Amino acid sequence: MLTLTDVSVSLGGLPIVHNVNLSIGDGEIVGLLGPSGAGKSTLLRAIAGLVPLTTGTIAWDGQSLIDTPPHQRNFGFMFQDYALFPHRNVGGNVGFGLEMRGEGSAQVAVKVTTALAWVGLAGMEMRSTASLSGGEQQRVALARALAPNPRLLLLDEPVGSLDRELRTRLIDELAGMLRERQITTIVVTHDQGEAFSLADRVAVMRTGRLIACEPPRRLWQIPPDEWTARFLGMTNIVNDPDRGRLLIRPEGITLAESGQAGVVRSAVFQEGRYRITVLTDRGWELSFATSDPVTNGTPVTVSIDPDSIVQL
Amino acid sequence: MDPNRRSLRWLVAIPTLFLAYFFVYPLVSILWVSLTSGDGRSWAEILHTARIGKVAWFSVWQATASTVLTVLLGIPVAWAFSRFDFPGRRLLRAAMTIPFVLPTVVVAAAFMVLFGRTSSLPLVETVWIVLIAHVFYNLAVVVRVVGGMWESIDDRLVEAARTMGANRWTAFRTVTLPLLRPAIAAASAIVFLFSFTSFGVVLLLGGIRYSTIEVAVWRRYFLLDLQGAATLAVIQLIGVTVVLTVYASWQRKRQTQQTVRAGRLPAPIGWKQRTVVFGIIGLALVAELGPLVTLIVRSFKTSDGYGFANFAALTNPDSAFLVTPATAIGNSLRFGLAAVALAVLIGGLASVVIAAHRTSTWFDTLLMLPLGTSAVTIGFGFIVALDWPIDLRTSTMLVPIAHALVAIPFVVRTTVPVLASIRNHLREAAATLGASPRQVLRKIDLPIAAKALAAGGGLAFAVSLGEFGATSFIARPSTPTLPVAIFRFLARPAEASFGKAMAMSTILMLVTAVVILAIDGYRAGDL
Repeated sequence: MLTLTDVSVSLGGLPIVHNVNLSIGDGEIVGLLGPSGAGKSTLLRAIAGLVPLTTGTIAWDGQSLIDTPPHQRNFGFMFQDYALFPHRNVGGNVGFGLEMRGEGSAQVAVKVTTALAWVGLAGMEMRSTASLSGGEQQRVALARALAPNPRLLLLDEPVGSLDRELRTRLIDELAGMLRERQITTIVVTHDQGEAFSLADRVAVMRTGRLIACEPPRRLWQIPPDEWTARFLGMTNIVNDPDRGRLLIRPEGITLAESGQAGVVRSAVFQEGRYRITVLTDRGWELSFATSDPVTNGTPVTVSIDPDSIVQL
Repeated sequence: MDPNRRSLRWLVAIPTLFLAYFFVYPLVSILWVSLTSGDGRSWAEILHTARIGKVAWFSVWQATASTVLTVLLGIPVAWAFSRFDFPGRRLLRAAMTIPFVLPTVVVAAAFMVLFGRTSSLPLVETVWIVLIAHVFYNLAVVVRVVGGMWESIDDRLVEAARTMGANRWTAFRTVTLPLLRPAIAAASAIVFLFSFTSFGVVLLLGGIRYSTIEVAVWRRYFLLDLQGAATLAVIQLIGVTVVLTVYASWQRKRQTQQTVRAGRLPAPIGWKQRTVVFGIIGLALVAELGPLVTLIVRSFKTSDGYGFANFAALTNPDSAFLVTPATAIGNSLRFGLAAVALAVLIGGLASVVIAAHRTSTWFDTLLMLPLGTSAVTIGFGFIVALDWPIDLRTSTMLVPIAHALVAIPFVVRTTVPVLASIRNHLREAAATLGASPRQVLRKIDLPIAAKALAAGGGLAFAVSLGEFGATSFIARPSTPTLPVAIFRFLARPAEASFGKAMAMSTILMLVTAVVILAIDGYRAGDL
């Protein structure tokens, strides 16, 4: 189990991470989510020992890691740019960590073969890293981080530099593999979709602080504040004279026979449905998806499921 | 330095101690001699005896003239080589570089054949031959430094200027030239310094009428005027420092972000452009390689036609030496290998430290100083300083040490960019995979920089083979090097001596050329 207690990190005198407290259980996958500049990567690098803490402690199973240099932590780290060694071929990259542990070359070869098979690159040991596609490089980096069987896997934007379609596919593969092998993982991402599909719990970071750390469903249903709601993509935030500031989750809004009257302000056809924005008589601007074909200016009535209303 | 590499700090000690003892201490000793070992003469008398005014003026004006001529002639050649692609471009450009790395005695030998007293254009012992030799020698600097930057200029910048109504010349003047200015300044500074401290060329070709400060130091020393020699060396050092400081401050102010061109260079299009491009390249190659061909041909010329007589004679004992000329060749090779080992070891360690800091430091400057310090000063410094704490002046290691000192900046300059280009992520990745800082150095930095180190080592070998200024002070009579032997043969009027000098120059030239062409296949950064 990894425990962070009051962890703060400064880089070049600038405070980047403030008083983060977080515990991660064995086999758990935690997504570290936040906009760029929130301090996610810095926190990840601090966990790996690549940057020193200003204050606080990091412990593994109750043992402090403060004086343990990165090469003795046995944490796997995957860099956003993969950081594949250009002077070593695929096998040489994947086997590096095993070599560092002093394993014999025969054993290294066997484990490299296995690790490459996990990521679907069986038999590519002799390829040069320069000849690989972006997706293949990502898999080699993952195999390299996994091969020495680390006790914790740290992934920094694991699919950040790939195109969208490939990203979705690799995230699904990654989620399956991490679950199947029960690998304790922290994954940094700025994409809430990625965080939600990978993580058991999502830790939201903003300007160096940890705002929440909840299972995806709970975080979505009861976001801790307006900023988080907006960051997660929930933009229906309205003022109600009686109840104050309300968040209305989009999945609770439907077009219906009765309800609030309003007019469609924009309609975009996307992935088989219409993403529409309705301005209601109460002055609420509500965005949601519907299957009904509507166009700009259509008068409609919207029904709101009371369970999808969150008081902020 | 990032925390994970802090444990590598001790690396700084070895290069620092080496440079402190073999570079800083001798320079301080020269300064000490110039101030103290008086024979009662005043400074004015010392400087008057050394004809400082005449010597300093000649050094400055010939260096200025050489620089202007080299830059003016070099820019068109740089253009032809850097804006167009054609088969053999890299090889031809590498061939153009050969004169720059040739030993001064070889260049002097070639020019003696071309412009000797019995030639159709007897320019020996005029100022013209000095200027021509300097242009010949340094043209490659302009082609490499200016051409290197020209190649990287984004075509779209010029195209943008053209769409806004600039004609070719205006676009060149308002876009290309300002972008090239830092490179032109850098090349000019290098050419000026080399010409300012020119030794072998002026000594061998200029006759006794012309003397740079560098040559004057040597002459005063052999006239046993130690204090005069030391004083001149100090004055030259001040001059070099001034030039370097002015250049450095100018360059700091002008650092600009460069966009880099994408894609391949075009081939020259149309007969007109082709004529101009290939005409320039052809002329440049004839000018740069012609003298060398002449030298080779002359080395085979004997009293009765052509043959290997001059080369065969090298194995015979000669009255000028305690050993045969062939032994001098062996000496040069052995000294060269020792110098390479030293320069790669010390330059490599220094490179690791510099690349880890990534900012310019006193250490960086200290390492580059030998490049700006003339060879004669280094040799002279060894003689006045290295009898303490033990007398090293009779050690055979002295010559390789001097050569390594001159070569270390080359090793550092080829290695640092490669080490600095290694993204820190690679080292961090290795660390998270269990590599200790020492293992990171051995498994990541060293293999990636190996080619650059080898190229630096190759340069060090070439530098050592051709080094003449320092060696002429410190080589023992029993262990002359190839350039020292060539110098002695050239200084003697006998035809047999001249033939042997030509044969040895040819050997030296070919070995140097092979080394340089071999490492140019790799080529890390410009010289």
